[in-house]
Amino acid sequence: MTNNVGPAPDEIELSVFGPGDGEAAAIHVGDGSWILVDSCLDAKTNEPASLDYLRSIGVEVGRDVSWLVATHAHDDHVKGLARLVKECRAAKIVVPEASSFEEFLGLSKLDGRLAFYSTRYTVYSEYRTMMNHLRGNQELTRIVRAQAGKELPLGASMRGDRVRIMCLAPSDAAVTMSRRALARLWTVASRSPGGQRVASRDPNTFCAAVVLHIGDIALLLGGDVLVGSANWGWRHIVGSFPYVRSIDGHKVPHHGSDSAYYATVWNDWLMETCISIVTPFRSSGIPDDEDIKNMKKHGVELWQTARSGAIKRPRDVIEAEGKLRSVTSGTVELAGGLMGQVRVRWRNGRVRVEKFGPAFQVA
Amino acid sequence: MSPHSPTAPLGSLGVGSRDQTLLEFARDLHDEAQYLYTTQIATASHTATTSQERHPVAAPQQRWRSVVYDDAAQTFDAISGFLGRPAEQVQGPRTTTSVEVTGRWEGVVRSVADDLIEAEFAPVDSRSPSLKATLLRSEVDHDDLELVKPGALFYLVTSRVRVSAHWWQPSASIHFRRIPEPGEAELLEAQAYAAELREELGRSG
Repeated sequence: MTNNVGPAPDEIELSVFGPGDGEAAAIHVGDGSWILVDSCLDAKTNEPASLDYLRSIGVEVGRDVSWLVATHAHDDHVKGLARLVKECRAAKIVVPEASSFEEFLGLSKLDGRLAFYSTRYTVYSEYRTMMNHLRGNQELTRIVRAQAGKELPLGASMRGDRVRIMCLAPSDAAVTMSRRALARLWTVASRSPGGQRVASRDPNTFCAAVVLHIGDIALLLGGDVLVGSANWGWRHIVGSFPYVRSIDGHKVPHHGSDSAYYATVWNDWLMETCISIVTPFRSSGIPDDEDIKNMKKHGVELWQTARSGAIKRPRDVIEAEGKLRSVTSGTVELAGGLMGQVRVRWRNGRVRVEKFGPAFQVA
Repeated sequence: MSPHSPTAPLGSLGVGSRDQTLLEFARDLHDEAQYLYTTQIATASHTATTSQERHPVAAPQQRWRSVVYDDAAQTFDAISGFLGRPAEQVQGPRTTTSVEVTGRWEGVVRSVADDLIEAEFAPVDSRSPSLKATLLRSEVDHDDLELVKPGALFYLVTSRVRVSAHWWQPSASIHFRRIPEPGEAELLEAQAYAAELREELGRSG
């Protein structure tokens, strides 16, 4: 099986990438036009997985990528985002409302001081690099803020009558909660945590989720949106949007964990023929057996980009374990792993699923 | 008295020429002394094996303390003093180091539960992928314990310590980072940057 053949102009594609600690998606909306959602790095090339893939099938990313959606500011969704922004010059960039708050921007600036002390990657460094690039090139107008109910304005490169992008999240309540959480983080940062990163954890309430309508195909890309309540998360989304039995392709939210599993979405929104794709988060061991059981009981076709459990360790990891024996308990594992890809293509009412790397269909 | 303590009757060593045996013994002693220093187990009693005899010899800590030398030269002087004349050097002093750094890592704490620290770290000097492991809180220096919380940055240095001529033991130490507090000027600068950028973004979509 080869993955270096691009889709036909009238073929719709959803490719989901995940090595076990991050995720990204690339969607061909037809006529050579692409939308990218989130970003993760391929450990082999240190390049964003979606960028590697698009180049391998001959896509001119500077011209053909129309939208980048950065669902939220977590390590496992934004690694390589700044590089995507630079390379995909024609793309509009969708960020959740909270990413443009002063508190977030201030934290990102304050985090810059860490670069002097530490080589550690931080989420803020990705946003800082992205903002500095856009500002320096007077391209801040490329940024579009996502908010529930907002339909994104489509560029001329996409046939507007055929493609629609609807934001499902964040809701007004989620935006307010995010602002409060960011204000708290700012307070902590300015009090100086002494040795800590500026913020160890941003709220998942940040998160954007979208539905793409491409002709008669609908794709649900749920980021890390959690179950939530009547005012935010999946409970709010299901109560606010009428997508009954209409979803053909589904990137499962929050790596298939139970915190994002909302049965109504699976029961009422997904078509019987829907392809659902999970990107595992290995360090938390999700999805676990119970999560898989929950998802499988809805009868949809379920795929995973990589294994969620332990993987075979390369020799250098085993060597590292030997070196670290005196200070560790248990084994030393790779945080990520080999990049897996699940590719779904729809054309003339037919669907074809292919897997690459460690990806597999969940039995 | 241990048959291998410097004050033991020479006959009890029982092998080879007297000077050579003493020098061999001194080298082992030197190795052991360095080992005791570097692994910080100087309070434990220890078992030593000479390079020629290969049978374990109990060596109480108090005895070892009296023969801990800083380097080969001091050891040589001590042997000379014991012999009452300059000892002959049968071969050059060892030049290999007794501690070798085998890895330098930089990491971040992901979570802390009781005595265990879930952490992710990557080599400082290569682009190898990140690793994750559970670190033992007990291995963190007492002064650093207050820093152990999610998000904390640390260095991890791994080394191997030569215990004897052919025996190396892995060792590692964790150092938590103490990053200076952001000053008033830095906070104001960050606030100004954020306000400006927010305004510019407000003019976009």
